[in-house]
Amino acid sequence: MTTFIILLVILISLGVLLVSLYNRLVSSRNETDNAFSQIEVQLNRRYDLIPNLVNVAKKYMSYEQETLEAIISARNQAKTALDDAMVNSDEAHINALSQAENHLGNQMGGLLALFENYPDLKANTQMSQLMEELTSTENKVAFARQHFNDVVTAYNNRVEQFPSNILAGMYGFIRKGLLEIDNIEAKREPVTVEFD
Amino acid sequence: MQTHYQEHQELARRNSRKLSLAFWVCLLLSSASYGVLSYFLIDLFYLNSWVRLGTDTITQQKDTISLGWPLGLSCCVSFICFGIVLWGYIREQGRLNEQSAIGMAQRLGAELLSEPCVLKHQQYRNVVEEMAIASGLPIPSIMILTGDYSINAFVTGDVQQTTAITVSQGAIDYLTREELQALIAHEFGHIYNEDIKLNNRMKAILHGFFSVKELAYESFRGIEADVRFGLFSIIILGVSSIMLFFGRLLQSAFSREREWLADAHAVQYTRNKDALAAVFTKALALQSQSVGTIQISQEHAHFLFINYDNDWLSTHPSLEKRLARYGKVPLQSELNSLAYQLKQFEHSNDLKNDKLQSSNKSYASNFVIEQFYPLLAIQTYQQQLVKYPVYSAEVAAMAVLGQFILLSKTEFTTVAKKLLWNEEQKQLIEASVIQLQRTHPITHMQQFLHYLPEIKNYESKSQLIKDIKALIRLDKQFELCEMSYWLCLQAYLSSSQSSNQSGELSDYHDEVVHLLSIVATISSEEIHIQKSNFQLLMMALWNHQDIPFSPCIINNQNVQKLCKDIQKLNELKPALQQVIVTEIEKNMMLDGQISTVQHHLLSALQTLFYQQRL
Repeated sequence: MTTFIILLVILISLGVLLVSLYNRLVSSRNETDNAFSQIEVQLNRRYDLIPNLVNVAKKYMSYEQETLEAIISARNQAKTALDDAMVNSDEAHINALSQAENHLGNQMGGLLALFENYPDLKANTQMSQLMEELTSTENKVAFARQHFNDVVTAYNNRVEQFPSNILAGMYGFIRKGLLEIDNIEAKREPVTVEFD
Repeated sequence: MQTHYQEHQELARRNSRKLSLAFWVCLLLSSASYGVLSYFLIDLFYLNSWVRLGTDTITQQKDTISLGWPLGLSCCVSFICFGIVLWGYIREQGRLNEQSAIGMAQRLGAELLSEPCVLKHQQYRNVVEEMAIASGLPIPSIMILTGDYSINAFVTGDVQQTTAITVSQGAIDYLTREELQALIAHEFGHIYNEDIKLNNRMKAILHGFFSVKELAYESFRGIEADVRFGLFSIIILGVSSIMLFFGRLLQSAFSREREWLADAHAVQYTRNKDALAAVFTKALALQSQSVGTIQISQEHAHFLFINYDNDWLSTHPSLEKRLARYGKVPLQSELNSLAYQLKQFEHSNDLKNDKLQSSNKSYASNFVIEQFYPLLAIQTYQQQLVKYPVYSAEVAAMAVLGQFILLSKTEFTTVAKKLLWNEEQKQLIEASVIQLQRTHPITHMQQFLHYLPEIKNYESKSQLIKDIKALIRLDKQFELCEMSYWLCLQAYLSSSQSSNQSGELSDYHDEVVHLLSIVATISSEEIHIQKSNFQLLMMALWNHQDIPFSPCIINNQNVQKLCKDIQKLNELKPALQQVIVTEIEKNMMLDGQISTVQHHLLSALQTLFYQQRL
């Protein structure tokens, strides 16, 4: 009788342990999904901001029409790539997105460096507000990515560490990859303009 | 970048757990000690077993029988005290839970941030949103403490899990974007760790101890007749006071650990420990200048980002300790310099907003020549100075004229009517006056010296000198600053170099003494400092202190005399000139700060003596 009770207690506590381990795995996987959607929101916000910025810049930078048009086309490409990635987030689409993002990042970095040559443009209040929004969105993308990577690391630890790794193996919890998107600010290097 | 935030976080979390445990142990211990003490009291008054122990052994039998009721009573006392503490705790907890996050912040003087129209407010809102993303928390209500010009911030929260973040006006004004981010990340660390809840619990537990003490105190006052009962109350009062004291001690230690933890989170979220260190440095600099902080009662002190009242019961680790962990503790001279620049910052912001010539908002109005500036601040200003290229001798000449107009303290428009220049020249002068008004007065000499070399090629030098002389005479005062600029100008204009530079120091005794006494006079407002500076200089140059120091009055006559004296000193041997300049320089920089007039006189001496040799 006593052995039965002891066995029962052991079984029940084992069951509780397993359920809590499983639940923790599920909640951390959901957290990673949530963190990724946050990145998507911020990327979209950036795509919305760029045309506004270009419109204000147009008034001052009449000699840089080509640069501005190149940025708009890069922005449109990235937007399409993101929309595709949201529908079907396989590796090829994610790669296409990060390529488009990097291209846009390079273009924007060049534009921001060009702004240095237009003191009037920098002094414009609307422009400085847009720049603040852009900087903030950049940061938000970076922080969302950082948070995503933190959450993914915690999730990966759960997936690989004993004893939750046994459950993870049984129920198909697999490791997730970390996300790498470059920051525009990092690419903001001074461009040397040469006159013939 | 190397960050040890995870290590710190783990350490701080472990310590917090220890402290939390200690608190509950304290509660149990206190109830137990009430019980034990009351048992001894009962024993003392009603059973007297101690007294009778030696005399009568027969009664011991009786004691063992009656052991039951005192034990029961003391257990009762113990439980009652435990109950009162718990009751006080729960009641206080309930009271704290009633308050809303925004209401709590408003009671401390905070206002909700209106829709951002100012760039700085927009930035603040954005940074909060960024940190919400970085920490994965919902966005709190954003509030601002408009009356507080120090650097500070706090979070409040309530049971509905809503939180409000409040930042002081000073933090918004003085901090850069990155620094504001670090400050807000720290506050998000508090939200993430649920410190508001923990702090409330801590406060409630303390309140529990406090209510026992209050009750014991009341009963002690109420029942005077029964000495025994009074003594009983005193014991409880004593124990509860000690408990309350230890509780405070633990609370502050606990709170300090939570601060460390939040600092670690700030670094985790921003991945930028330099920004956090920069916030501490700026706060320290402002503190050393005793920038008015809002007084917040000790009860709410644990909310704050920085608790400026630091003592051993403080809720925060000292700024120096926090700096030592995330950066390095700056020297006092660096702090002075930073504090000065922060103070000037607001002023220069006004300047930027102001379009042009309303000169009452320019540096010129702030031009207090006696004000002392930290040396490091001067260096920073001089490095930041943008030197415009000098395209022609005329530009240089007009810039020099502009400097003298500024010195004459007259409005440009009134001067322009009196003196005859053509329109183009007037424009050049006006531009240079505006440029000077927009830069810090300590850099004016540097700008002046930047233009001087070009002036040698100016065609109508005699006209220029005539105008400058007229400008100097305009306010009927020959100031030391004007003299310094005049001497510099002379150094570049006088073509006739004194050929015999062979004078000995003894030949120019009176001149040197006059120069030194003026240097000593402008070194401080206090006579004894002036005197000691004078004696130091005399010792350095002549190895004696025979000449008594009498402060010079800075009037037209004395300044004119000084001007002539310094020009005479040109005939000294170059090596001796150099000794004089070096000694004066050393003397002026003794206390790490220098006034504009000192700086100008020194520059004039350097220019005059070194220029002659070129």
